[in-house]
Amino acid sequence: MSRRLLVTLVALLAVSAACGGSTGSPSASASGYRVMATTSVFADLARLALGDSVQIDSIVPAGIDVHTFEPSPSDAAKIATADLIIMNGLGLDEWVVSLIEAAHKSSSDLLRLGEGLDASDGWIYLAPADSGTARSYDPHVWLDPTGATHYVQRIADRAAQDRPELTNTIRSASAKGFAALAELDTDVRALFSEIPEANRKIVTFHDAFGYYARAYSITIVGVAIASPGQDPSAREIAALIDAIRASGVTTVFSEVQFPSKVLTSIAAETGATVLADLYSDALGAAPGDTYISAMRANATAIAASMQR
Amino acid sequence: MNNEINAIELVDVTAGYGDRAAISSVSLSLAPGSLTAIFGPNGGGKSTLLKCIAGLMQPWSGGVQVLGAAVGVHAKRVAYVPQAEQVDWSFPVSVGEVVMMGRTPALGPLGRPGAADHAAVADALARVDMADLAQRQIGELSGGQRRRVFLARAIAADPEIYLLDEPVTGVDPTTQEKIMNILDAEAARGRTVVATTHDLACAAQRFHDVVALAGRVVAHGPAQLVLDQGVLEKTYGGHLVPLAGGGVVLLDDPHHSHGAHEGHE
Amino acid sequence: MNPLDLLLAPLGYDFFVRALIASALVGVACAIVGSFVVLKGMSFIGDAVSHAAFPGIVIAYLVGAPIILGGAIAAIGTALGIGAITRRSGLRSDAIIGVLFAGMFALGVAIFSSIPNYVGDLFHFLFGDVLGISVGDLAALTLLVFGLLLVLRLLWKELLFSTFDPLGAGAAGLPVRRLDDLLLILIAVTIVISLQAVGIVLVVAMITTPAATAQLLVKRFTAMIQVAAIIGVSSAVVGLYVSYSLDIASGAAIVILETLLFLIALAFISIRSRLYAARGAAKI
Repeated sequence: MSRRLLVTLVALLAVSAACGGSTGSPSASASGYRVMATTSVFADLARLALGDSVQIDSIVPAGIDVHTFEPSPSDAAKIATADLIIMNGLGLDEWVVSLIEAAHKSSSDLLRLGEGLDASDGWIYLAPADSGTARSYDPHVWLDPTGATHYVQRIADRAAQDRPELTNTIRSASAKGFAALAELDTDVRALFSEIPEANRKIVTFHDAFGYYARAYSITIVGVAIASPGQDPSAREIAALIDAIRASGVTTVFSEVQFPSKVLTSIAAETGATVLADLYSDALGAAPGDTYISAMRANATAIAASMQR
Repeated sequence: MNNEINAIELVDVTAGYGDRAAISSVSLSLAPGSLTAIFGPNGGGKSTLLKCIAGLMQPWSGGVQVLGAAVGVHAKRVAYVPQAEQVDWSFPVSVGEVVMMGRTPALGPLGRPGAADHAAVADALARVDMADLAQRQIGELSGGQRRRVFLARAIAADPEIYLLDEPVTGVDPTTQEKIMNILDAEAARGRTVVATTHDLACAAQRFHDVVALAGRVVAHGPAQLVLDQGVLEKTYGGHLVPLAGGGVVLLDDPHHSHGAHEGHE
Repeated sequence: MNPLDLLLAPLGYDFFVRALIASALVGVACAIVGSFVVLKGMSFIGDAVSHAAFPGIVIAYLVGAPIILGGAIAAIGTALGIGAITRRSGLRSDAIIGVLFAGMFALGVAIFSSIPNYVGDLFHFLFGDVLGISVGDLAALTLLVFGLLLVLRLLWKELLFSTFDPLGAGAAGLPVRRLDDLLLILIAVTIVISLQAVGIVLVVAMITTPAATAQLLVKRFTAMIQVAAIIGVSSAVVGLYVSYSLDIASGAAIVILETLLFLIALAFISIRSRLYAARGAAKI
């Protein structure tokens, strides 16, 4: 009885240690190079690029939405000791810029992963669902494994530039990373190919999956909220209900960082089921604790919903 | 030793506001059927005394008995008519509705007005000559009419004790006459009537007894006491101005009140 | 699109129908309680109580308890506290109420900013989330509103007497202090159940405006309550339709409508009194 208690206590301690504070690879940096990412996704992509010899952490805590995140002064302290700060850009995490200033870092320490990709990279941006200005693009580039590959490349290149002595370590780590990402893409593509395109329809919480949908020829029937932080209006909810009914979609996907009240009420009205937790802007607990496993989990869940 | 129970009995009552006593060591007995006017200077504690009897204020010391029991026990048999200044005349109620409020004690917590209650209201309005004004909003009434509405409310309650705060102050002689006639009739029926007033002439002419109150009871006796110079001097002190040919003038502005707490917003 | 379609189309959606019913119920409850609030000059207290509910809501959010419970505890506690302070000082100490109100609200903001949160939830607390009302929420709201109206109906004459003439009522044996406290509790409960529909910032308008409009138009309390209730319900229903058509926040649409009605009533009575004066002058 007391041994079981002891084991439980130790397990609790381990879990709380793992969950507390910043996420990401906790191993002490053998190289002394420190990377700070805005979210857990980018931290994991950095791990794919650089391996375990580099200390990588992230700022946004688990379960919190990156779009509307408000950093606190202690987050500035975290940045102060970083050598490289990686962000997405494209409006997703602009709040980190104020942290850079607060921590007296320069913008040269900042790497904007998602910006400046163009035709020469073989990349075309999408506009977001409710694009106001022509210049704004959908920031969720990383949810397409091809986009994630660009991110990994950029992180690897930048780190090698900062620390030439690490070049070999980085090259071997990122080679494995690219291979894993390529394998992911192939597997997901294969999974969806079994589903006729006409049935490839989903409803997600926010419009994170534009690039994903483009990559795998999926139709996004609608999203619950057009911009995180703002409620959908009555007409937007009505339009989504109509779209769901017309498309025959039977599953709507919530995301862990958003409360799902409006989704629940939409689902109740259309007879759809709410499935929890697609990984979009953040990773979570296993099986979503790495980019690759999160994407596999997403694909499995989405494919299953299409076959209902 | 009195055979009958006094309607109102105060023993050594001290009460006030904040740290200032308005009345000190007041002892008073009022018999059923009495028609008593309480007079005295502003700040002398008239309203305070009335409120202690009505149960609206807790004395700091001493005891108050109403109808043989502690204050509040027989509250339904007591009707209180507040000063005109303390009423919100813009409140959207009609004359009839105000008078019906007097029936609240009779109706009890969940009661709804029945035939008997409507009859009581109609009777009360008739007695104050306002039967045809039952639907009028109280803000549209004249000063005299307003006093009469509140008196009607008291009458509708059919109380054993009437407590009236300045019922005839600032009122035209006709209305004053009407009000005093009613109070007289109620006393004659065995009801106890206590009123505060600034109008010494009215006190002398229309009331049976008076109480001179200046923080303490200066005198309590037949209404003629009001005209006694000695009593007046002890009650009003510096407010008296002697006249050349003998006699005095009393300077006591009813609208200048020391009791800032006596209003309810 | 013909007008009938405009009216009927949104009713095809359950969420809209629920939002409509909820807003109408809230409109009625606020207007009726608001009639007492306006006559007693307690609108500031109404605003204070709605803001003071915020820390209770945030703490409930933090621990995962029902929001309405946390809000109710904070709101009722504050309302009774204000009642006690007012009685003790003998005057309506609006400074003390202002201090409490701002302090409580700041406490809520401080706690909210220190916990992991989603800013959309903050928006809901401040401005309502009527489109997200579930069947369960609506059932609870309906029960509470009917309970409220029942209490008011049962204690109507006592509340009327004690509101109009606390001295006379107290002397007649009514427990005036307890009735005052009861009214404060009813106000607090009304505010808390209305928060989901219109939020903390606007609920004071739902309480004050229809009753103030009614007070301009009628001279009897019973009529005032009825007119206020009609204004409350119709503003809620029309407001929700307007918010649907124009894509604006529903709470704001309702309050704007109520305010417009107030201004119209104001204009109406000033024109009417000028007409009476002119007619009177013409007779001379």
